[in-house]
Amino acid sequence: MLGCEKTRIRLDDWLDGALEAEALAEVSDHLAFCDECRDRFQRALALQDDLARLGSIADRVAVEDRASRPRTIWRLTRFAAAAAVVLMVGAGYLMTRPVRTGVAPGGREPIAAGDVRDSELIPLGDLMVRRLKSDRVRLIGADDCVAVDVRSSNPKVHIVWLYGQCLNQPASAPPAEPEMPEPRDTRRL
Amino acid sequence: MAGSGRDGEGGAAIEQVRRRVVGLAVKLVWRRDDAEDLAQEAFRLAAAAGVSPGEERFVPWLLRTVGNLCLNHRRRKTRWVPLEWHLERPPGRAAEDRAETAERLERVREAVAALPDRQRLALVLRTMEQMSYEAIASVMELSVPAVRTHVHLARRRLIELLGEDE
Repeated sequence: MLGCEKTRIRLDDWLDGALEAEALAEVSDHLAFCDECRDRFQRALALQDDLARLGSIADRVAVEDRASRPRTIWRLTRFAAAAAVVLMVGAGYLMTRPVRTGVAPGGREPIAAGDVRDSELIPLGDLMVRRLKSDRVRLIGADDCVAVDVRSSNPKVHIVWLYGQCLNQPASAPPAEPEMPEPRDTRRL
Repeated sequence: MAGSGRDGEGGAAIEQVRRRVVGLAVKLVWRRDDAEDLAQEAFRLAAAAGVSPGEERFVPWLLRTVGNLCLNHRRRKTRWVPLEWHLERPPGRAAEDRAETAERLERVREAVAALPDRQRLALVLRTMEQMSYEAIASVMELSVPAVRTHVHLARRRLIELLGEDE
């Protein structure tokens, strides 16, 4: 009969289903009376199942339609509440903010600028801006437009300078650099 | 493979490869956006290196490249895809079971992320991508015994790590 050491050497082949019938019988015989090895093999098998399950989840994530991402009512409620807070804070600020002008990077006058916060899809003038990651944005619905992401001191605030016909405004319009306060809750929901 | 048939067939084949590359990237970085960016970078590097879809080395090259890009990618566990969102909902199972499963899988995911790079990549290719040792050897440019060793060490480490948690 196999000892513990020789049995455990066969663990990988056992998990991979690569053991010949005779070797499989030897392993089974050992596991029948060795609690320690049986426990180890059971944990290895459970791990194997969990890894396969993680693989299936990752495959679903890789092809999922974002619009169909499961959302619970609670999470939607939290999102709505957070959005309401941000809108109220933003509206209050817009009524009182000082308007500043600035020079866009690259020596060109931007036609508009706006804050892009840590959110999936943000309206910016007539455009929707989708934030892909911390240092990039993508514009939706803008063919003749260049966006430059300007790093700000606040990691949760991104200022995006827009050039071209993004907002159908004259290129000479002065840039506006809003200084919006950090929202109460900018976490992704 | 792409390039051998009509454009539509070639495009479909490339899309299939792209999905596979993104799938591997998701298994390593657990962020859809990052995974797509890294996959795109792998395709860009393939084009720059002159590795074309018609070649036999195309897919292993892409998988190896995206694997390396992912392993070098800055780890941001706090932004990982929450597993509970993506768990199946088997009928008759209590919510507690689902939460417990999600918690267990999170522990496994973190333990995998803590493995040495080669062990991690070999394990992911073997157990999540269900690739053969020979195919993994081709991707990682290692011998089959070396791949087996990495997978064995990774499994042993995970069993020990997760056993300590219990």
